[in-house]
Amino acid sequence: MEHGAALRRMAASALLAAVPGLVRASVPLDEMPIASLGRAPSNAAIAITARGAEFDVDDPVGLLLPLPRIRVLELDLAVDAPMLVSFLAEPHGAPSPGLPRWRYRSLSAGPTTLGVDLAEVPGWSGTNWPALRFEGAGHVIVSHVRVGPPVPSQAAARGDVDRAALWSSDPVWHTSINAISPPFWSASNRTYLSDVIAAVAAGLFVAVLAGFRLARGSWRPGAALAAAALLAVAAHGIHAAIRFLPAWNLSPKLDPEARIRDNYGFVAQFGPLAALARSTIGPGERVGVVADANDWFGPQTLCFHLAPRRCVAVRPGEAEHRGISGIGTLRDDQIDVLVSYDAPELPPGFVPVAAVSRRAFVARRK
Amino acid sequence: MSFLLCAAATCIAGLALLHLVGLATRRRAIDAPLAWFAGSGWFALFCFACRFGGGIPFSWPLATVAFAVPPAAWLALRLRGGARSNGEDAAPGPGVPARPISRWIPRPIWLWLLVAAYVAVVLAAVLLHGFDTPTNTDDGVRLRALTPMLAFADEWSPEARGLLGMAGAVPTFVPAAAWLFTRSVDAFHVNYVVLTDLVALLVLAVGLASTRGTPERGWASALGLLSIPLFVYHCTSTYQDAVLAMYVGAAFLFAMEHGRTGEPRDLGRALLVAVAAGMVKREGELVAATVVAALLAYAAWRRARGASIPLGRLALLVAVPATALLLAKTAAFGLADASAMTRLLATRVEATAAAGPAAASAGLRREALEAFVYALFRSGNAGGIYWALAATVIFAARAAARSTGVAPLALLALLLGEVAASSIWLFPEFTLDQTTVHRALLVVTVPAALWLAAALVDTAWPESRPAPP
Repeated sequence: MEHGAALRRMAASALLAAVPGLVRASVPLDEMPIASLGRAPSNAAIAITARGAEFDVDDPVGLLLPLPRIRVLELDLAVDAPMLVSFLAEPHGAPSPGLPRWRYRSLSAGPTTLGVDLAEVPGWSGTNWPALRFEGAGHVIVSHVRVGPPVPSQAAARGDVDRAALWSSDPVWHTSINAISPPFWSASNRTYLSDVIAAVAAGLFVAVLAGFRLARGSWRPGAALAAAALLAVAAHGIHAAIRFLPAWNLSPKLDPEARIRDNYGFVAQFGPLAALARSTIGPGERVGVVADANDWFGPQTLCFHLAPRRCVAVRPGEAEHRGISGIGTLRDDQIDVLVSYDAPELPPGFVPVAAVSRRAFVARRK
Repeated sequence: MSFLLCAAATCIAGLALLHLVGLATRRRAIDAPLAWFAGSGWFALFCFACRFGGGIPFSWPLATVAFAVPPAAWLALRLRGGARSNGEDAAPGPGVPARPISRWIPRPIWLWLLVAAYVAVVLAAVLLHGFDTPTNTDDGVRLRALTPMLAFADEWSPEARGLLGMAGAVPTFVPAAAWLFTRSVDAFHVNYVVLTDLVALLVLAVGLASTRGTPERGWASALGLLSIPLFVYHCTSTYQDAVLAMYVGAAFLFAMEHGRTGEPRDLGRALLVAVAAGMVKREGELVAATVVAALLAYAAWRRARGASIPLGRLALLVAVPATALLLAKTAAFGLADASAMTRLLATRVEATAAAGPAAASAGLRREALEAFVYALFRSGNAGGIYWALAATVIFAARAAARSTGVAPLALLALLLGEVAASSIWLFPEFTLDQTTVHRALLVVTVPAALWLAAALVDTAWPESRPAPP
């Protein structure tokens, strides 16, 4: 009985060490004084109030947390509009999302608890500071910050990072379609998982070959090769499934509008805005989308979701605006409705009539 | 619901077409998925040719005619008593092998239950994520999922025609079919078409192998396909790289069957699906041309060695749709741009040749070669397929070739050579930045997984292999 209990404890410990996502749930967390956020380097003006640390997000806000050697971080916060939070690590200068294994959470308006295992965050070394990057437009209140125990050593942090690189999820974003994040057996030594699986498969080939020879007195190279190939192929498949599934949309939503609203994970305001535009713009109305001048995603994907309505990306200074891939044109005076997605300003003559946030709304002529 | 009805109509049209050309097998597990691929190709080609060749608007009457023509023709032929006896229930003639005995439960059952469980879990996840996830952009800039909407609007400006040329007729017309009847656009139909392609390919792999007595091959194929990480991810998106790979994969399955059994109609089925692959993406032209040319050359070679291969009929099976496609493309894009991919390739070859063997470009290609090898073996995008393929070719090529015939392996080498030439020589910059190389490789990785499954199962369980033709 004692033996069994000990084995179960060992198995649970091994699992917790191997699966980084479970670490957050397993470690004791200490409350950090919220006032310390008032001193955190940030491009936002942070006010410490009775509700917590408060700040506005208009342009992206970076918040560097002076927490070296902390691996597990948990925040209670509330936002009043959809927002995207990225978890990053200095010293990358301005935190830059979109790296392989970019860690993000899409937030809906309301309170939430954010937990992060920093070992999963690209660039975290155990000694550098974690950073948060808020994108969207609204007000943020961080009411509690809790941290896990410090990592005991640099070597332990390296081990944590390696395990996280091997097992943590592969988040979906724009370039996932080009390539998955490279799977490393040991990220710190740059040992590829493929090399390790190939070596193990080669070992299995020899073992099965020898096993048949010893057991049946005959060589069965075909069976040995099949066993090795099965291992090589299935191990990659299982590993990929473990990395993919946590990041995928696996709760079926029968309503296509709900899928559009809720399932653009890495562009938090986009889905709610597309759904709002679809529900408020009539089928015969002509639409212009205003966005940041460098935004290649927002205008055309909004127009995509508004099809078959005539829709163009509105570029300031252009007399005639063009649709997706240059298809279809509308002049300023032909546009009935504007959809503003993170645009610096609204063209004259339009007023917001329905909004997701102050930077994401539908506008009509006055 | 509207999508399901149109999918059923597509399958019925495809099935009738298979009967008309004498390629139905009368095995539901084979005919149903094959009918989806053939029906999609037929619907796209018919609508494309009528719209641009005949100036008939893409509308619900046209779609209705497209769905109705093959069943009506088949019915008419049957009423006149002219329908050919065909399929595997026909009495075997000289040179045609006897009908194989179906076996649905693979052995040993414990091993294949694990495989089936894996296949079920991954397939369910792909279907759910694919069903749930709205479209993102292509290549970070374009939206190929837009072309069905252009078809629905039936507005074909030069820019819209350019997108149609890039996306191909199948991804443009097939997802838009149901919208014509409901008069509304539901962009998720593009997702549903991709997911249906995946289900059709998996059913075809398992059904084809099981009805021909080796379910182990079918389940190993399903495992192989669903163990290619980038392929699995692509099937949840509205990109068309996986779709092209699935059409090529379906054609490849029949090419392997022909290698195993010598059944000439399998070669016809392979050619039929390969022609449809030529209507998926502009790259599909080139890939399909390679597959079709290789299979026809192989058929001619076998015929020259005395095999009973109806070469003329096979050539006709390709020539009729290929000619219709070429005429439609000429009408849509003009003669100079009728083959957009060939034109792009010619321009690129010219530019590459003009650059000469400068040290800088030689260095670039060396780096691209390294990146290509990384893409095959280490990047994880293809999983363990190329490791297993290399080992099988090195250690068991002869035994494997006895299993599937030499042609599929040669075809695989051709496809790999084509992608390698494109990735290393013509477009090295996209290999170095890893933007297209992994996607381009899908048309090799998918058939490679299918070949591996067949070769390894037959090598490990030689007793399951049929007698060579």
